[in-house]
Amino acid sequence: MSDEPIKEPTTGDEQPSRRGFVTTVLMLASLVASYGLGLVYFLRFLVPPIRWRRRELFVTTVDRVPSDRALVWVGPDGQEALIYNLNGEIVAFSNVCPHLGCHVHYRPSEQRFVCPCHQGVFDLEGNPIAGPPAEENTPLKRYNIVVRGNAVYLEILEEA
Amino acid sequence: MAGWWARHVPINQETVRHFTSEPVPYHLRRWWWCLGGTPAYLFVVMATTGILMTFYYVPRPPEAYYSVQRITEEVPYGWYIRSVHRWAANLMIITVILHMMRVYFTGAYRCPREINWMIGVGLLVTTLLFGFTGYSLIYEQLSYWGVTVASNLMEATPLIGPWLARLIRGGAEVGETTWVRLFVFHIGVLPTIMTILLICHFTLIRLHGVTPYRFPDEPEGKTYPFFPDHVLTELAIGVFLMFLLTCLACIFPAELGPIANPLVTPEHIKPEWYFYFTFRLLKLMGLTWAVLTLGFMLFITLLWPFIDAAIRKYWPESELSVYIGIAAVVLLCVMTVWEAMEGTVF
Amino acid sequence: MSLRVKQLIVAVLSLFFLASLLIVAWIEGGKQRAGGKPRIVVTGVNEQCVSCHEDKTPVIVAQWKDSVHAQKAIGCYECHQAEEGEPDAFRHEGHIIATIVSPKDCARCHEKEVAEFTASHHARGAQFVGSLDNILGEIVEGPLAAQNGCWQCHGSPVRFLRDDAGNILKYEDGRLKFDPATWPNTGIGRINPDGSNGSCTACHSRHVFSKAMARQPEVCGKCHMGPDHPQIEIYYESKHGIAFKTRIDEMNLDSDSWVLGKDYTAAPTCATCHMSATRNQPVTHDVGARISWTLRPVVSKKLENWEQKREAMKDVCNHCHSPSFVNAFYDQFDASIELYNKKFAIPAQKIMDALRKKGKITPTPFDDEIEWTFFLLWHHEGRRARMGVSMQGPDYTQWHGFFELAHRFYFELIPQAKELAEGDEELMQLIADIENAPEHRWKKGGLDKKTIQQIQKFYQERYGK
Repeated sequence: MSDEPIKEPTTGDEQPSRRGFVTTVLMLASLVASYGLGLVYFLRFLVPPIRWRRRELFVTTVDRVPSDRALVWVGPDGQEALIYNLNGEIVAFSNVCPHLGCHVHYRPSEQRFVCPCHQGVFDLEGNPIAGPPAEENTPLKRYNIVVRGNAVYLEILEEA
Repeated sequence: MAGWWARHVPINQETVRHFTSEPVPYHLRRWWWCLGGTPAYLFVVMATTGILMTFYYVPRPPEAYYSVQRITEEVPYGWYIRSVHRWAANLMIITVILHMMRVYFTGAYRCPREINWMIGVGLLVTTLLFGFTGYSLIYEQLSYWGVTVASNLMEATPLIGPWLARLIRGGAEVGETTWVRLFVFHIGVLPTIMTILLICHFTLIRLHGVTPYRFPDEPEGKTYPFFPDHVLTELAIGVFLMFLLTCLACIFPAELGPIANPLVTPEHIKPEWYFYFTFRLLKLMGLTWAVLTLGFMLFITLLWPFIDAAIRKYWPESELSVYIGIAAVVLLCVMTVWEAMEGTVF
Repeated sequence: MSLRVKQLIVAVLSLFFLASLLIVAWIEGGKQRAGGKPRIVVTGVNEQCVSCHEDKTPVIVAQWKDSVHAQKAIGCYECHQAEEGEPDAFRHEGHIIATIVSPKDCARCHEKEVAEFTASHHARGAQFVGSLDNILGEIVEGPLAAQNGCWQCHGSPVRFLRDDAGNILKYEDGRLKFDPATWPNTGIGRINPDGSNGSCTACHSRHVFSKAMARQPEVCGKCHMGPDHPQIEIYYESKHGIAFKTRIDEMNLDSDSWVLGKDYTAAPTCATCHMSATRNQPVTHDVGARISWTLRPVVSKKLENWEQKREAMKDVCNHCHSPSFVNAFYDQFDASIELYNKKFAIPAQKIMDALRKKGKITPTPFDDEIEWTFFLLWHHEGRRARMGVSMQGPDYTQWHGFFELAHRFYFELIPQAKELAEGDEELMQLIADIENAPEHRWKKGGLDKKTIQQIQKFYQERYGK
């Protein structure tokens, strides 16, 4: 590995020593670690990344979004969303209870969403405040809303 | 355990010992004497990263470009794998040339190793073809116009030109089928040729033994074993190359130019640096003369061991081969730098 | 160097390699973070409209899906949305929309194009109501001829059916009832209920809005054809049209960028010369921006800023022709228009004016035969001759043009005028002056002997008789 004159010729039948053993192990370990990590990258490469398809589904116009109740909107694939004006911001939540999948309902008197199956309760921001969802701390799934001009769109991400 | 293996894989232990402890001459302890192994190692790196990329690559324009884009931008570690592939290609060409120069200037090609020199020239040509088909596959502007220029160059070859051009184009003009062909050349034909040539190259080295050479400070006739000594040297070079490639990939990742547009020739178009020589020659001489000159130079290179032998037969003390070698290297460098400078604004 | 040192070197290098690999992972992580969510393919869809209309009007939905609009998430509502209070707005399935998408709507995104179009002659297409053509259609031929003929190219003022109080009549579901005399209509100068002029769909047919279609000569040929303005026929007679038909596959008609000399070189279409981008000027939606003569009226005139407009056209020509070629063409063109003006149009106009002034014909158009003769002379044959020259259609210039023009002049207009002028010294003198002008003298005085001999010799040599 160098141009310097060779002082002590080595031979293949060098006596194994403890220090020699340690260096061999050290070398093998670092070789396995580095090439192994490279191999991991290669395997990651082989798994194609998910491509998301973003759909914007037209819901309604801004002036028709209520603030005193929730608009139940049914999408083309059967998904349902509760859409309402929360202090000036249009929000949309899935009406599927994260507990066991029943549909939550809006209760105007309490300004809460209630799941009839196990009495799960959510506030207007979708946070769980009672029942199994509160115990598991699982909020309602929130949809992204896009407002363009006067039109309100609901954004759905799905794998393409 | 050992007995189980010995029964199921009956290899003679002695043979293995003999094979792996082939004595290696002392001068190979100097790392620049190991340049020949480097391209072989890079070939393995390229094969690995190359096979990985074929999982995503689509050999049909314009999807070809978008698939490369996907590899570069979307797939995890895609940019790294593509960059390593590209840098390994560049390093491979550099090391092949350095290896050839070392062999040339130490006269290692002389009798009885003439055939191995010729195989080596074959390996050089194969490597260059790898490079050309490789950057053509991307289907960026450089790819498209590179293929166009190259196929026109082939067409200018006397006698077989039109046939050669059709072979590479897959039709009368550069088009969709061309990319299928480039792909098959790049991942099928060329790897096969390269593997066969490499096997021949190594086999001949083993049969002849390493060319004898002794530095003044070395003990006469002293050798050292292939395993583990020389293997460790090669291993160190290999790891160093991986480190180097990774650093290059991080600092200068492979980029992606604009997609090929058959209607617009870019104003400034240049091939990869290793074709600068050819490109400059083309500008200086015009199509047919450039092709003839290149063919002639390749022919001389291929048969150089025999030409050299003839020269030395008449002038045994002549140093002519060294001067010719220096002249060739200077010519290569001048033409390459000349081409590189053109279009550069100072 | 001992084996152990070598092993240590390998170990150290491996650790370097490992470290560099960790940098790779760091860069990779940064890429993922920068991208936020993984790559997103946008497919904006107005699902609600589509879910019904896919069944009711499947072709509209299918064509829209083929459009670039669909790819860029421009759906039904983006174009058809309307504000409450707009004259043609109505509530449909809960949304306020309008049937007609006017240039004003398109301008929400295509501002530059609409501004150029609105400034063009095209946008004023419907302002022909007072013209002779319209009287012909509305009265002489009958209103339906105008509605289904004239207005389909020129554009109609779109109106609604109203009750006696002036309220728009509606269908049960709330849709407004259009006046069928004015709608459907895609005429280029349509006057829309929102007050804007024009119809983008005249050239950019809905609902695919194909660029290729707008560049196709046939899109212009819907209106620019026939006996009075046969531009498409002239174009296809010319070398330009022949080249286009032959090399249509090389026209790159679908390309986003369509610059002459860069994106295509095979042939020019109507759009190439009158609208599209060259390497030196951008595309314009003002079709008159490169036109120097108006070939429409009785007597042709040079337009305002004609020098500048001609330079713009010459720039297009110069992409394929040398300047000397282009200048020589314009010399030919200018001289031919002067010939038409001086020899036929101005004298004919003079005669007509004098006849009307003297009460030999009534102020009502088209009730005297000579008015039809004069109309055919300038509006049909005269335009054919002029337009033929302008776009290099030789047969339209001569046989369909000047030849018929001359026949109309010498054997219909002049005899009919003489008949009407009988007994009026002043009128007879005017006609005689015209007939005695150098360019018309050949007819009265006959050809000179030398010319006649030449003609006889030619026929003898050619046909042996």
